Amino acid sequence: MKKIGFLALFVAGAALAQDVPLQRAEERRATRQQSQEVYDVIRPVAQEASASTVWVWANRRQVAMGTVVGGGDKVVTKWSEIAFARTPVQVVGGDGRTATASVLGVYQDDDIALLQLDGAQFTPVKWSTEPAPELGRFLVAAGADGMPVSMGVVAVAVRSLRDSDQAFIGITLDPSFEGEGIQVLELAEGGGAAKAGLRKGDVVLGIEDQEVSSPFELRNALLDHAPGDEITVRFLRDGKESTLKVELTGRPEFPGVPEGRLRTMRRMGGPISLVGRGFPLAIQTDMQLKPRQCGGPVVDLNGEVVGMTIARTDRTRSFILPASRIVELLEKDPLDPELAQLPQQRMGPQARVQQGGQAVPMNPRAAGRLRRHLEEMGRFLERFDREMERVGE
Amino acid sequence: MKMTGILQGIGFSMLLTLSAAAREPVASLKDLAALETRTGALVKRVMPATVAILSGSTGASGSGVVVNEDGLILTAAHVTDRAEEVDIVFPDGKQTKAKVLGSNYSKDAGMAQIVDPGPWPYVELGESGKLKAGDWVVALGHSEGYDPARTPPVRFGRVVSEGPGNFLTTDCTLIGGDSGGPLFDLDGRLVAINSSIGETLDNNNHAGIDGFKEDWQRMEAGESWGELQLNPLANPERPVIGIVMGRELRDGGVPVDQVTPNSPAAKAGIRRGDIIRSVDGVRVRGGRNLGMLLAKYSAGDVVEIGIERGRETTTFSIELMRMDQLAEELKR
Repeated sequence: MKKIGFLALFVAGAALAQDVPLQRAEERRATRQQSQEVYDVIRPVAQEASASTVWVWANRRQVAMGTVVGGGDKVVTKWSEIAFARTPVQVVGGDGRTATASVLGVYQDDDIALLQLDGAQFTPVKWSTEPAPELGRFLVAAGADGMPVSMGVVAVAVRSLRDSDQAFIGITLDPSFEGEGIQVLELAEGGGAAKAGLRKGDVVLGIEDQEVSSPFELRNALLDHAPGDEITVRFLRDGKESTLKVELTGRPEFPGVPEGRLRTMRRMGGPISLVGRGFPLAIQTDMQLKPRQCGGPVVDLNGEVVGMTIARTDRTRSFILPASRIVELLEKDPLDPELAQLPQQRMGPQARVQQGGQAVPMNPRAAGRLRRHLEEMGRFLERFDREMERVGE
Repeated sequence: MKMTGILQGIGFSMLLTLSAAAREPVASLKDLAALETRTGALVKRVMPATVAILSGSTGASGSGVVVNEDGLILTAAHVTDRAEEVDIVFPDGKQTKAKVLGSNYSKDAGMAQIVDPGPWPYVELGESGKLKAGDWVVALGHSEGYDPARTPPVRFGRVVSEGPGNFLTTDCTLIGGDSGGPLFDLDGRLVAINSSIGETLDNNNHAGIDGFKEDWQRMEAGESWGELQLNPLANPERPVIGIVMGRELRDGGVPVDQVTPNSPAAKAGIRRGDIIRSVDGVRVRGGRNLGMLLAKYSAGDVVEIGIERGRETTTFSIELMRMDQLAEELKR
């Protein structure tokens, strides 16, 4: 079914490139035929949602998809893809009807813009009221013209990608420590552990009821908690066991690990979204998308609209905002677009939204250049990586 | 990888009159829903055994999968390369240590043994030899390293090409950190280990489990051998018939310049001056193409080689042999 194959076959009508060097003609034929079969099966599934799917144009290019909401005169789409528009945004339906759109507001953490249409009206989407789809469920991204855009599975169940939702205790651990528990090497200044009175050399044995004996186990134990929670830490000091209450904090302010950024960038393959991180709630999928295919509805095999595509981040990953999250957002007032931050501050794995940062609209050409540079850099790093692997092996 | 870099530009555009059907046709929504149900069920079952492998000494980070209660781990040879001991992290954060056992680099196959006694969560072994283009598969792995905030991402796809040797290619998209992670059939049986990727999204290569089975005891005993060479024409374990090729003809025929003594070709009666025209009915288009066609098979497979001898055209059944073994025999 995947995806490039059938996209080329059905959408662009172009011949397939020879992608897999050792693929035999009959293997190619078998997989193509299978793609077509799957495509024929999923097309009716996304039919209803596709009436609520639009193309979003800015600066004379189709830059994103949009999902029709409200009474049919509003659209949600990917904010970072239209933030640089110089001229009014246009919305086009699968039947060719168009409307001019103005940005009513922005839900910045989710990278969503709410558009008000002037002109054609469309059928509003019916969001699913079911819980977010589970691991391994099949998902189809609807297209505006009744042709699905892509298909994938739930790769990771819905979760927060926001750093500030992760709870931190404020200690670094001694990796060389052998024995039960984990030994405190350093305490983050102003962190929860330091405030509570934990000291260097203490050996942490457990968090609440969970025993911890490795850094990952500590990290996992903290996953169940949010910043602000007070937890009981059981520890050894000078051979004596005792407990302390520690208030957890958000991610401490230290500079991002540059290696992490490099690692991710090096893995970029194909164009990726300008904003692909930090979503408060997102479903990870292996669905193959282009950045301009984000913003449209996603259905399950029952045709239920379970969310909206929000980002393409690398060779293996795309993200979907769950329906419940969008419904919840739309009940709140969005941020005035003039006050919204622009995407360059949210790029890269370690980049964090700088609180109170001033919105400086970026010129669209500069944004285009930036994206091209990032893509080039990604390609370069990918090539470099391959060369290195070859050398290494 | 590697393979793409080396093999770019090789096109296969043979015309076959055979009509090829996908192995498990998806004719209706019901069929697709059945695939979905199986995928969801198998993922729950096999995920707990999908581990991250961290090598402190080399800084490498990959994946692996536990295949028995005692904690035997299968992984890619390049993940445990140069390490004696590795850290193992289970998806739930449980951390332990494993001793690196043997590897066959030619197959990118590696083994490690968890030191602490079990029982550990594990998966059942399947068969990779039976897999054909169109068979549905699920890949798992700790993409970009262990991330406590998520479970190892699920990739659903299908086999797009089998071979070379025990390798196979799927469209389950992989990335760094997935190496050594498992590929399952829809019954949740381990059929391959993630190995490398090519340029395109449907070029993800996995080392078939049958190759692991062949070398099981040697690897378990801690033996390491072979060379990591994903160019199939340079792999010492690639299957050959045992000839030296002459200069290819303009029409794609490959003249036999020499026949290696005692080789499969010699035993079958191939002679100097014969022109190789086809492999199992597929027309040969030059020497490199012949090598690629043969690379799809495994040693021990019997292929029908179409030969033009003078005015006659005949086919010879030839059992393929591993290149390194042929070389060994010649030394004797």
